Amino acid sequence: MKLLTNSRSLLTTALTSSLLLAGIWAAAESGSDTLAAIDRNTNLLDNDVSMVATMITESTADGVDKNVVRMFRRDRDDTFLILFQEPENIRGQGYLQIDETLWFYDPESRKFTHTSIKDSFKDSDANNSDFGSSTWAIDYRVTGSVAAKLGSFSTHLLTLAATSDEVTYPSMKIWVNDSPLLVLKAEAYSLSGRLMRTSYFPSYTQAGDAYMATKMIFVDEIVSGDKTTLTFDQVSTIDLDDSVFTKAYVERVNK
Amino acid sequence: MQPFTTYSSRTGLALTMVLAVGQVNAGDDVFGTPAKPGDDLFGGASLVTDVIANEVNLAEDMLTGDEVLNWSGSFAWQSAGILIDQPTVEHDPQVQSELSGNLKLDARPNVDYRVLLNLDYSATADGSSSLLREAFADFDLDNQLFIRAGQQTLQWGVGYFYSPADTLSQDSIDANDPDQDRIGTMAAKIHKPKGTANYYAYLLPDDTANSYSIAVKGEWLLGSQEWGLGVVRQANNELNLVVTGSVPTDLGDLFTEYNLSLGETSLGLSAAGSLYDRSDELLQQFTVGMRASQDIGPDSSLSLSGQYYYNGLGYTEPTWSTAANDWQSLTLGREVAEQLSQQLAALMIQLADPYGLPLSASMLGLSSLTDGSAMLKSTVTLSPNDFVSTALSVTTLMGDPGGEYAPMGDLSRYELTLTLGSQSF
Repeated sequence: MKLLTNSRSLLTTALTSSLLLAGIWAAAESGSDTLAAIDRNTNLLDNDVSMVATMITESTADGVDKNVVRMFRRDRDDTFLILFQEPENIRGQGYLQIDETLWFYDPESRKFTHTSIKDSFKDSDANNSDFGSSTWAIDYRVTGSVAAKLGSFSTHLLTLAATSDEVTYPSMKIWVNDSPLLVLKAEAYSLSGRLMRTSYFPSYTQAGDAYMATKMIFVDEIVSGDKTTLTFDQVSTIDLDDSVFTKAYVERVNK
Repeated sequence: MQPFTTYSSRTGLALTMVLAVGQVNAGDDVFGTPAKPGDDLFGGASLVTDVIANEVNLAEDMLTGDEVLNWSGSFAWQSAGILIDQPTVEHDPQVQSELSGNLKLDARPNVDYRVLLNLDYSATADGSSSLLREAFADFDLDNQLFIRAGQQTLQWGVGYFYSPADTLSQDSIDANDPDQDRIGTMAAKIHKPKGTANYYAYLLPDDTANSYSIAVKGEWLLGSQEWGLGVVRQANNELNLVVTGSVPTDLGDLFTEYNLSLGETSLGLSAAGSLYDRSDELLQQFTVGMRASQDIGPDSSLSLSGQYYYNGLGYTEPTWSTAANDWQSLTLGREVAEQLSQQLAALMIQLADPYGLPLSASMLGLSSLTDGSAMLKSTVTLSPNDFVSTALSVTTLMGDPGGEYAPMGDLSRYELTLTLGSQSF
């Protein structure tokens, strides 16, 4: 009898586990589709993108700092260029990404030095990786998904785990707008599970079938009061010459 | 049974937690605190605004600028009090003051052409001086070939303190101040970007030799690594084959250079202590180093740079240090290697804004592993705002007189510097 009870329990547990695992697997499948859809929605594979970004960095230690940059993206080649316009003392400094390589350019020494996509962007709460093409589906897998309300928007809250150590954060939670599928908010966690940064993407603009965030807010969760706000304007999808995404262009535009 | 019960309990708990998370209203939870950004961020009806179709080509716009002629520059007034402590020599305290800065004129009549003048100026109580750092014209051929002609800063190597691959620049890197701007070299450069690769050709006039140096180089990306291969024929007929590499790692950026040369004009030093012609010898130089930076707290970072340099043009026996008088009579009027030591090393640690304070600190160590001389420089800088800064530095030279980094033997130098009005415009 005991053997039978044990067998029933075993069967029930196995069935429950199988159903649960199947559910989790289905959620993961659906989640990975969602991540792929977010990437499709936010990567402009048919167009180049140019824009002017104003970055306000609020730091409890250093006060308020304003930077203006020009940004150029070519998502189909996983390439971008960012050039500082303001303030004057760093005018011309820039970041150029080609394939897996990211250079920082200093116009004073006229030197390109390698830098990491994981590093913070010019002492702000933004990271270099925030400006490249969207690679959620490559960088993360979904470990949980629930419906959630964010303000007046219906979203799904996805819990993500990194697929490699190449990414800036090992785990994330993202709030994904139901339609169109766009990330509205993201929480980034360290390996120990500590909340490091919260990002907000409250507005987007549309170009063709793709969407671009026109405002990003990055809140430092380690240092209370530190945050960085990026607003984008003069957004253009005009085709850029291939030479824009080269070291030669960076050298030519600089004084 | 126990394991399954436990497993069921755990999965049940996990399921409960998942469901519980599902009930969390993120909007209410996160946006309920007024101090948090996000209040009203997602309260609107529409997430997506109208398509913006700005037809201005921002990339071309940058090549011309707002005006044809643009001035920019910098200004700083600096005063330093210096004390030198040397065991055998008495030194009076010194005060040195200088007004210095930089002026740049950038003329961009159209997207295909520009001229840049870059001038340093300084004035002291003894007089004033200026130095033309760069003066060049940029133009392109069909946006395919990019040409820069004139006095220009060349970037041929990747080394931070030492760059044996850079056989072209007239002003080599100063290991004492590796971030210092370098004076341009007269050259014509042709740059051809192709895919992820870059190809360069240089022509450098040499008035002394009444000839030209010619150099070609390619740079290729291999994953996240960048490797370069170059060949140089110097105006004095010396040949160089150079390899450069930049390899990003989890710890930092690894860099390396190799230079194989034939036709060296400086003399070799034999084991017997005599100088000899080595123009038909293949000589090698090699360097490897790393640069790494790590955030160590709110707004503060720690940077580490280190480099080892095997200088095949240098000498194994430190005669210049162990027998300085013999060395002077031996080398008088004869050409010897510019960097005497065969093995050199450098290390720098920089700390920026510790604990959010307007402070930075650095420690630089340079050493000749051949003659045992070394230089250690520690600097602390206080910058309460953009216009005023104060720096205290202590430099210690160690080694026998004549040593690479201790030409006057053991010595300590203390310098307190006040900088006012520092500003770029």
